[in-house]
Formats: sequence, structure tokens, C-alpha cells
Amino acid sequence: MHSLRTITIRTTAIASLGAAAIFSLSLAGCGGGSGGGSGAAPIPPPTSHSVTLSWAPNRETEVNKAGGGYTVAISGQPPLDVPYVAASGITPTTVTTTLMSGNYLVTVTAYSALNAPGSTTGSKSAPSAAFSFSVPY
Amino acid sequence: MNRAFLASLLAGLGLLPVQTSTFAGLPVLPQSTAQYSPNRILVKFKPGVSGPARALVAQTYGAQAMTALAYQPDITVVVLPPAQAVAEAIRAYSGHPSVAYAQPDYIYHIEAIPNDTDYAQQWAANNTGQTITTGTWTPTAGTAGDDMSLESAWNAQTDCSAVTVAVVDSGINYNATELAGNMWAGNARHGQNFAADAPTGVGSDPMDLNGHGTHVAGIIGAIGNNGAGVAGVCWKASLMAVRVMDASGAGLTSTIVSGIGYAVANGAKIINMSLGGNGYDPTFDNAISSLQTSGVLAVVAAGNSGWNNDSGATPTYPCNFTQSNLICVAALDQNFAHASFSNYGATSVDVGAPGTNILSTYAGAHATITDLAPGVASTGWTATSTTAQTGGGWLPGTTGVLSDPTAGWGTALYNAGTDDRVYKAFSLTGVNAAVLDARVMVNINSGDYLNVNYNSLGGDPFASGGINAFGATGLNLGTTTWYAFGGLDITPCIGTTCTVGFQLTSAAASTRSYGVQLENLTITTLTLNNTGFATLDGTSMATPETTGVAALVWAHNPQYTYTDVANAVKLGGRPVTALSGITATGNAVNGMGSLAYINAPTGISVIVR
Amino acid sequence: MAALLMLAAAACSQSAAPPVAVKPQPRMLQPRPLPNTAPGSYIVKAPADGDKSIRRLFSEYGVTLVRPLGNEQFEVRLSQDPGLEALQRLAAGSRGAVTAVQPNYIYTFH
Repeated sequence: MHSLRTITIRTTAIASLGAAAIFSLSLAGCGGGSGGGSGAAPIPPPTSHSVTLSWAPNRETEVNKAGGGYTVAISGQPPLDVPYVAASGITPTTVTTTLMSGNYLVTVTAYSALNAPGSTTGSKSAPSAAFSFSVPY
Repeated sequence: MNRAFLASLLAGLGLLPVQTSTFAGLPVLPQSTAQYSPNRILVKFKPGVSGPARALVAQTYGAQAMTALAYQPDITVVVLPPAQAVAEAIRAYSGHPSVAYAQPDYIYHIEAIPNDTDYAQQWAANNTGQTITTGTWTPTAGTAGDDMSLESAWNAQTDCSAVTVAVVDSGINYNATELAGNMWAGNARHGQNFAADAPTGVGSDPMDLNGHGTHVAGIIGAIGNNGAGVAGVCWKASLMAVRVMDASGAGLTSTIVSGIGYAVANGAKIINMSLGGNGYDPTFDNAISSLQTSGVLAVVAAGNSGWNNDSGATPTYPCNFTQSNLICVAALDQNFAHASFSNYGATSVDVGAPGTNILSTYAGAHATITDLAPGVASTGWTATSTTAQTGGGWLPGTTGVLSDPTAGWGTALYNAGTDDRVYKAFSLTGVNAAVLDARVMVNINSGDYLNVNYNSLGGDPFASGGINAFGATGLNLGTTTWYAFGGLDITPCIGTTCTVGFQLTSAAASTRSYGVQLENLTITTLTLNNTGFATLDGTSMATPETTGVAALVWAHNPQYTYTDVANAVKLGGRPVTALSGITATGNAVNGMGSLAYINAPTGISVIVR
Repeated sequence: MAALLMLAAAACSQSAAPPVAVKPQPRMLQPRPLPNTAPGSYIVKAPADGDKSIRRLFSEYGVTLVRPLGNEQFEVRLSQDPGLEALQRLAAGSRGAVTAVQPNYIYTFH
């Protein structure tokens, strides 16, 4: 027996999804038409998508040199490190990753190798304001 | 495995004969302000991990080379491939079962200490608990570590010359040995004068005839590490002299806004204003807004009245203006306690900075001429009166006090319809500025006048050719409380025959009052020299300490806006208990903290495919 | 399906003013119940043809100086000072020739 699964998907102001602000779907069990009876559309299986995040470059010299970079924190994911690249001489402000369908919050933190007083591990900024986005099914 | 690669790795581990030095082939560390090497890490393998095994691990993660530390064979230096960041490498190696730990190869510096001869007296840069021998504010010795961490900051930045700082003040002695090489080069006199009280009259020379502006300038940018004197927060600087205060230390709305306009038009990025007043001034407010539009940062003093600027009854301007390009600074003492003279305000005052016993450059040397000492007979005064008054009119007598009427102070009244004058000649030679003051009690009705005049050619200063330095009417301040003029600039009187005088005139129908009494007349002179220093207290000193840090930050980060600089100065400071609740941030300005401060990223966007 | 969201930020502009030096003003006794102001000296805002408007409006008080400060503002010196209120009353009745009058405040070191 399969249990009823309810998935809640909340969208942000992403016009392209063209959906209501909040909606929910439920999945019937497999085999036969015994389940449900509500008439709701079945939830499609989650799919994998390429997601590119970008942000405005920080103006600190130390972020934009060796030892500097950004940490991109996506909810439910290991943090992504975006360091200065010696070969190009810049610290990138974009990163591409693969995410499954769902809703995510992302923050970006900038860091450098210059120690604030009392630190031996460099400096980092406060996290950016959280940005939410959805990866569709 | 690549045998050649393994051979090189094993050679690095000392397991094969090595013809060259341990560090052969390792890239030379670049000149850097980083706290660790950007292209190598240290790896400690677990006991029993053989050389070949270590080399295998390194090859797995793409190491370019590896070598055992001399005398520390358990520690392996791993040179990273170009695309691999230190943080990423540490994560990778740390996760390997053969590795005990991995860490950055930290860079250690001797902290940058300038060789200026009086540097040890600059507690604001490095507080060792030293006694400031020329200090007059208690305490003169404080708590080690309570400073602006400038020695650490100077490892990262000492040169602010790309950021022109306008010192809007009494001018700068731009010939001072410790300042001449750090002056803005926009014109021959390094700035402009808007308070033209110089002996030549209206003039463009921003030479400091007071001393204050030179002290402020030296805090920001006295030449550092030149084996002499003091070191500014900026060892190299571009200081613009914008003279808006006269020799007595007074300026006006009109002179200040003119000076601000000049500074912006000539490329200043930061404006230091160690000055203030107590009335809301729309013109000054608009001038700060214009600075904001131009992307210029203003750093201003909180004031020295010891009161709360936010009380509503006692605002101080420009500190109490609300633009975001304004940083207002309170004063801390050598224990990082709130200096009791310093104004404060949880809304209007942003940060604190060292403001007691601050040694810096000065414009020259002061001397004092005194007269009218109580109880000491004073001679040389000439008195005239147009009305015959029993015991009346000015009479410089044996008491050393001048008063009109002479007899019965607090009981006798001056004559109606009188013109009473008293004056004396003083020799003011070999000096560059002169400021008059005296203790005074004034009781004159409306329509009756007290005037203070001077004449550089001698004679009656109230006759043709005399210059009025002060005037008052309708002031009845009582007969027991002394006031002061607060400094009257008589610089144009410099010469051998300067006469200074006081005049009381009354209307024919005057209902009369108790008159005027004067004592302790003082003429303070300034003689310019290029090697002067002074130790002063005030939010005037805390302000340029902050301005210097702002200039360091902006020079280190040329892409910054004024908002970024303000954030770094305010939020990169060090929390101090004494400032909590009485300043907006609770922070003491910290040079290293501000240089290391990083603004939070913005502008996140996403593309989903 | 692609979705794109952007957040953005803003930018700045410039201004300037011409400087002229002037003679000193007499000082007033300290302390005072009112903010410290220079006697007979005011900052006046006059939008169009400011110099002429100011001299005409305040002529009875002996205008000795009208100096531009930029932004339609002028420093004005009067040989007979009637006080701020009198000058503001005149400005109010000038039909916009003079729009504001404030004292020329005195500032000191801190």
C-alpha cells in the first residue's frame, strides 16, 4: 500500500511559473484507480535542472584577490566555494550547480584572507539577504 | 601513477637524493597582505603513512609538489595546482583517511611599526599602557591594547595619497616639516582661505594662524616612518587646507559652506570638520546633502560640552544632521572610557575614537601678553569721556580692573549721552597672529553700546581707521558673574603700535545701567614655525583619527562608495562597553577591523534551465 | 523552463561652488541664550537675480555686502541689523524675490 503523499510547493514572485502563490498536490498510490477520488493532478516526478546563481561583485580589494571569494549557501545543499581564480585574475560572481525540483533559499557570503582583529582565519561578510527561488518539476 | 611525478614527490619527502634546496621548484610567495599562503597548505598524515602513500594522496588531489618540513618530518608542505583554492584543498585532504589534519600555511608579520621619534607617545596607534608625558587629561596612562590597531592596519595600507582629505578648519601650516610632503598639490598653497583675517586682508592663503587645523592635519597624515616626530594614521596623504576658521577659532555658516564647496569642486573625497555649533542651520544642512550627492564622506566632531546631543535641547551641528554620508565621533580616553567632556548620542553620534592626550603637529609657538590682573596696578591706559561723571568713565586705577563707571560697581550707573573710551598700545612684533580675550561683566541697556576696537597704526582706535572686533547692546548679565569674549581675532593689528580699546556709549535718553567691568586681559600670539608639536584633547582629535582610518579604507578599496567606507568605519570598529547605549554602533574605530570589513553581497539573481 | 529574477542598486551625481574670502565679523559674548550668530550677517536665499533683489528689499538697513555662496544662497551684511524676524517678514512679502533668511551662525572648535 502506498500512503498518500502531500507536497506543498511555494513560489516566490516568479512570474514565469504563472502559478498561484501557494498550491498543493497529492499523489495517489500506484496500481488501479482505487485511490483519491479528489480529481487532483498527479505530482510529476522531480527532475534535475541546471541552476546558475549570480550576484553583484563586492568592491573590497581583498575579496577580489588571492585568498578572497564567496561562499554560496543553498538550503539543503553543501556550501559552494567560489574563490579567486589566479589564472583569470578575478573572483567570479556566478556559479552553476544542479538542483532537483523544489524550493530553495540562497545566501552569499564574501570572504578574504585579511584577518579581522582576533581572527586567524581571514574575514567574512555577513550573509546577503536571503533569496528564494524554485526549480520546477 | 606517473613514475616521474612520484619520483619528484618522493624527492620532496627526502626519500631520494636531492641535488637542490628543499624549496627548489616551489613558487616564490607573492607580496601579499594575506594571512596565509594562497597556493600551499600543510598536511599532517597519520602515523604509519609511508612516503609513497602520502605521495599518492597528493597526486589524487592534483598537488604540484610536496616536501617535508625540515625538522618537522610529520608535516608535509603541499603545493596546490593553480585552480585549487586553499579552503577547497583543506576540505579534500582533511577528508582523506590517511590525513590527521590539513591547515593553511599562515603568514606571520612583524607588525608595522614606524620609526618616527615620538611614535611611542601615540597611544591611539598602539596603547602599551605608556604614560603620555605631555598629557594633561587624566589618565595620562591607560590600558594596553585599547587603541585603533593601527600597527596591524599598516601591514595592509599606509598610503592614503589617492584619497584627498579636506581639513575644513583654521588652515594648515603647510610648511611644517612633518606635513609639507603630504599636502594636496592642487595649488601652491595647498588649498584656499575663506576666513580672511590675515594682515593682508582678503587673501587666498590657508596658512593656519591658530594651530588647531595643523594638529588635526597631523593626526590624519603626518609623514610616517621618516625618523622624526609623529606618524599620521596615513603615512602618506593628500591633505587639502581649507581655512574657514580665523585665528581665534571662529567660523561662520558662510565661510564653512564656501569651504565645503571648494573642497568638493577640487576633488576631496573626505572632509574633516572638527567644529560645531548649536543652532539648526538649513544652509549647512543643504551643504552636507550636496556632499552626499557628490559621493563625499564627512567626518565631524560630536562636541566637547559633555552633553547628550539627542536630548532635543542641546543638539550639536553638523553632528546632528542626519545624512548617511556623515560620521559623528565621540572621544575616548586611554582606558577606552568615554571622555567626560565628550558629547554623546545614541542616534546622532556614530562611533568613538581616541581623543585625549593626542600628540600631533602644531602651527608654531604661542606667547601671552597679559594686563589688568586684579590687584596689580596697570599703567599705560588712556581714558577719555565726553561727560563729567563723578568717579565715572573708565579709569585704569591701582586695582588692575577697568570699569565704567569707576566708582561703586553694582551701585553707580553710567552717564546718559556719554562716550567713554579707554585704550592702550601693545607691541605685537615678530608674531603671525594675535587673539584678544578678557573676563568681563556687562550691564548696558538697549541703545547703549560696548565696543572693542583696535588700530594697527596706534592712537584712539575709536577714531577713524580703527577696526571693530566686538559690539554689544542691550546686555544686562549681572554684577557677579564673569563672562569671556571667547577670543577676538586682532591679527590685522600686528605691529609695533597696536592700540586696543574699550568704549561705552549711551543714548541721550538712556535709562542707564551698571556698566562694564574688565579684568585679566590676555593677548595670545602665535609665531609660526615648521617643527611645532602639541598634545591636545577633544572630539576635535577623535574626528581626524577616524578620518585617517576612512582614508586608509578608501585607499585600500578604490572601488568603494562613501557608503562602503562609512560601513567599514562604523561596523568594522571594536565594541566598547563605554560606548554602548551612547553611540549608534557602540564601537571604537579600529583601523584593522575596518580594513578587514567586508560588506554583505547583494544583487542575487538566478537562471534555472 | 527558465525563470529569471533580478535585484538592482543605484548611483550618484556632481556639483560645485565658487569661493571668495571675506573680512571677519565681530564676536558676541559667551554664553548666550540663543545659538551664536554673527550680528548684522545673514544667509539669504534669492532664486532669480538674487543680488539685486536682496539689495532692493533690505535697502533701508544699509546693505554692505552681498556674496554668492551657490545654490541661490547669499551672505548678506547689514550696517543696521533689525533682527531676524524683521528680515523674514520682508522676505514673506517679497513675492518670491527672497525665499528664506537665516542667521549666519558662528561655529567654534570642538
